[in-house]
Amino acid sequence: MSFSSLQASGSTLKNLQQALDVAAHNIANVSTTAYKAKRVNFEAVTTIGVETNFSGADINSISTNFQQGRNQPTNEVTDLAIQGNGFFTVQNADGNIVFTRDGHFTIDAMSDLVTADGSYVLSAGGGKINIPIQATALEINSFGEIRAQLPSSEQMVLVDQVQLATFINPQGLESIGSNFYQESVNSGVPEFSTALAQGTSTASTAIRSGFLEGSNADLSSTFVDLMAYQRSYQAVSRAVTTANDILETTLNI
Amino acid sequence: MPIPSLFTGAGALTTQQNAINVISNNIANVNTTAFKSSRIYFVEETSNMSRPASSPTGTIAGTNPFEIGTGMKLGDISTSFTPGPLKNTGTATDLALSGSGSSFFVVSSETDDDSTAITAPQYTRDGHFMIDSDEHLCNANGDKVMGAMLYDNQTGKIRSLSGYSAVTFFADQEIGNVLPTNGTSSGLPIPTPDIVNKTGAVPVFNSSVLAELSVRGNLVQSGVGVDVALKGDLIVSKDADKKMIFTFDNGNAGTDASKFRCTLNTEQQILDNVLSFNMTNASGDVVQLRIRFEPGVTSIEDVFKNIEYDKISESSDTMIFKAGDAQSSDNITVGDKDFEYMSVPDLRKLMSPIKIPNFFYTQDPNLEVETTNFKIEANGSISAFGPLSEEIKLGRILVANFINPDGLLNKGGNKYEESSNSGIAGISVVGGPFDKNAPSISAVKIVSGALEQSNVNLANEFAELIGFQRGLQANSRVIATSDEILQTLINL
Repeated sequence: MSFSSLQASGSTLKNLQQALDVAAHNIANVSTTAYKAKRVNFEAVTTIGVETNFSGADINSISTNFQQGRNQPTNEVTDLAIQGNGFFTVQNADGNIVFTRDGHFTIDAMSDLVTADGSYVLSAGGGKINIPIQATALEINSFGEIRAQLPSSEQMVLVDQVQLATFINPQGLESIGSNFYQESVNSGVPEFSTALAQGTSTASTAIRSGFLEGSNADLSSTFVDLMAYQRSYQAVSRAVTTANDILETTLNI
Repeated sequence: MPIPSLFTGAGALTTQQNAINVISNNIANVNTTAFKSSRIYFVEETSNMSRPASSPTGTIAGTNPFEIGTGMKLGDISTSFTPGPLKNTGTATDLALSGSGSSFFVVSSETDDDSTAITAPQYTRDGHFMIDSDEHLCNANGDKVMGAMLYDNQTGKIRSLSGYSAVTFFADQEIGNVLPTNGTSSGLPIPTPDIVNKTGAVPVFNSSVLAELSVRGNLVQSGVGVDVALKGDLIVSKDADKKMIFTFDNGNAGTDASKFRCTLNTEQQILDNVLSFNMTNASGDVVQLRIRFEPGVTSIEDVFKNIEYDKISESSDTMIFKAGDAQSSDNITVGDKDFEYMSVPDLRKLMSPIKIPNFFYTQDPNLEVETTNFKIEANGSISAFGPLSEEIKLGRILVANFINPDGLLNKGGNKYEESSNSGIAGISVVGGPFDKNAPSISAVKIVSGALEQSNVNLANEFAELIGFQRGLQANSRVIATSDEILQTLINL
């Protein structure tokens, strides 16, 4: 018996607290557009020496579940949901290209397609998407092609097409808040394409206009996690008090 | 030592509370005239990164970033401008805008009858209007409704149209019977009211800037004579580079010799209100085209800024200024033009409070009759009727359109004001030519005797309310759990 069990329990408590933070984050985001739930993966910490010691649980990774969220109707043409893999590419106020699956877009005073925080949604050509101001109606099809009804023609006119980006390892993306992700050294470089484009990694990805992707955080399983972490926390804290009692007993011999 | 999950839960709790506030505002306004429901959107909070991603090195595989989120925050509250259903009221002054949800009536409490420009305009879709003791059309709050008034209540006459760049706007057939024909107020040619272009749209020509069109030429090569005034049509079109081309056709039946061309560029100067430039024909003859403009026009842009050429298809982009008699200034007509994209940037100058007078003069200037009835048509045109069904067109209601109505500031009282992100109000008549700053409004119609109802969908609102309530409960549970964990920690 040594102080190691006390130390192991202490670091496990810290890790459980972080796991609880992740669960709280998932619960907070059950209504967030296109939120992707996070999962904490624990690993047993073992010290191999003269004898093998198991010294608590460590977090080896926090992974993101990129499963499709349920698409919820909004009836706004410029609300887009990605059905399948991929991200919208947007250019933020700093001029950086970032990625999002949150397709709640609007049209700003310059008639550009923008996100709620004023970032420009990029087109297949990599530029801003400008909607003709005379457009009486808009339509966005499953290819992400934006068509506008102009008074000068009877048929809808193709204006632009929304760009999509995919990554070899989306888990490697950094979440920078406000539903945006940015490329990291381990995500791989973005591959740009468009929805349903044959021969690309988004060949089976469709855009749905009038829908927004819901959060994929599942309240019930997250709550189970929350309770499990809480009970584990209590159990480990019990281990701490027990170890403490033993130490005390030892010291009193 | 508070733990992050406590704040994650608390932040989310506040935002869920805001969401419930938005929903309760929607529900509270389920019976509010022309109310537009709002919708709240959440976004993820920034994450704490305790380890950044590392890239694969060949021997060691890359690792993903290690991030712990800190909850969620308010992403956007946007207003849905879908039109609400109409409800009949039977009152003629109750107006509803049907078709598009993003057109607005323009109201102002500060603009008087003799104001030269509209001040403090506000925009509303609530068309519950009435006529006050000053004969103004106004809303329940006393704000005057704006329109373009042709009938001058003081003089009983049709207003002088000089100074308005969009006068021909009103030269449509239905209003034509009250326009002076070949009017020459301040020497300004007013198009004759019977001008209607081929497509039946209202002809528009910026006649306030044009005072004279004359062509003088030295047609030695063609043997026509020396320095003669020519008769013919001036045709403005564009070439492949969207440059304006002027073609003067003196009518020698399609021969190339009759066609004089020049490409106008914006560097050409207007001196003493006269723009003159040389045009040549296939035979090498040169004629000088002189266009004299009203004072104040100093550049080519001033003249042609009202004409949007980019958007016009090749086949319909020809505008002809017909000069029946090149030396006369009072017979300029406009035709053969698809005017849909003609912009009318000075339409604001036409705006004044709409008045429905108790008495009006008929076409006989000595006969004043009492207004017994009036009507407001789908295109916003207002007419008054006398006891013997004498009719006078008073003017038209103008509407405002925004590129981004979501960007408007909600001022309460069902009114909105322009913001830096709404775009400038594009003022138009219903179904008329469009301001180039405005989205198209061809789909809009004014319905008299009806009011637009709220576009709140109660079923959706309740579903959302339940969702937010559960979210609030879940987050309060997170707070409780975090608290218990702290308790456990303290009891160690």
